Amino acid sequence: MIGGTDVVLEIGPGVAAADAILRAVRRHWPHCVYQNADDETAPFAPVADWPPRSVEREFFVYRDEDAARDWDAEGATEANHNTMLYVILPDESPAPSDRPTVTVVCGEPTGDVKAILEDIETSLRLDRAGGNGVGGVRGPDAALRE
Amino acid sequence: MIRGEGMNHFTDTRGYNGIRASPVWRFRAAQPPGEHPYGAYFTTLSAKTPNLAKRLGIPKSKLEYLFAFTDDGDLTPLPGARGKVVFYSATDYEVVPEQQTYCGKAVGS
Repeated sequence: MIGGTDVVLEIGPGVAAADAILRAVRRHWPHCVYQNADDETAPFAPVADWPPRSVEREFFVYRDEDAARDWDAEGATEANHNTMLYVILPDESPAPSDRPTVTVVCGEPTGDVKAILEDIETSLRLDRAGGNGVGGVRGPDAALRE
Repeated sequence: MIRGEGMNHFTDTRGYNGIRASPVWRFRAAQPPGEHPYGAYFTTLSAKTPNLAKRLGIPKSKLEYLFAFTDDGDLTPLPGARGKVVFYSATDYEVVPEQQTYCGKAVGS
């Protein structure tokens, strides 16, 4: 009753996690599709404005439109399991002693997903001025247009 | 110690018929796909949770039936953020009738 691989990555000080993750994914999946985890409306169209303006604490990023449609219709399958990332950002107020982490759930860390995870891990370590390092849920004008 | 919140196990027709065959539900530990620990898995997420199959990383066909119960607080959280809602037992896990709250079609999935 469980699938996927849970990869836990630390967020460096000052890093806007959502922005860093979404930009890293887009470098590998240029036609990727975003969906908030609580949103069940069709997420099938890539958006020109990346990252999306409204990013929630939990979200999915699909490789492309076909992957989004397939996941929506079937859930996880052997064919699609490595075409979507499920991202869970940290709570807004972790304990002060806790180093914030993000969980990225993938099918398995191989192929282009392995490369994406490595890119995300590197991006999350980069110190970017202005980020709060927690949640990283910021509008596209906050850090990406710097 | 009772955890105080409902625990759910989703499954398909085959799993449903196997588990409900005895008065004491027995959820068999197994090796799940991915790099998760060997075990029997459960979630506090309900059948009405949006995008449930995507969150759990399973086929939608595995959401057809639901076993719901109150656990003894003896289940282990999955490592990572999903551990807030996904738990497992490293061995077969039994639920006596007194702790069983529902089994049948998973309404909302």
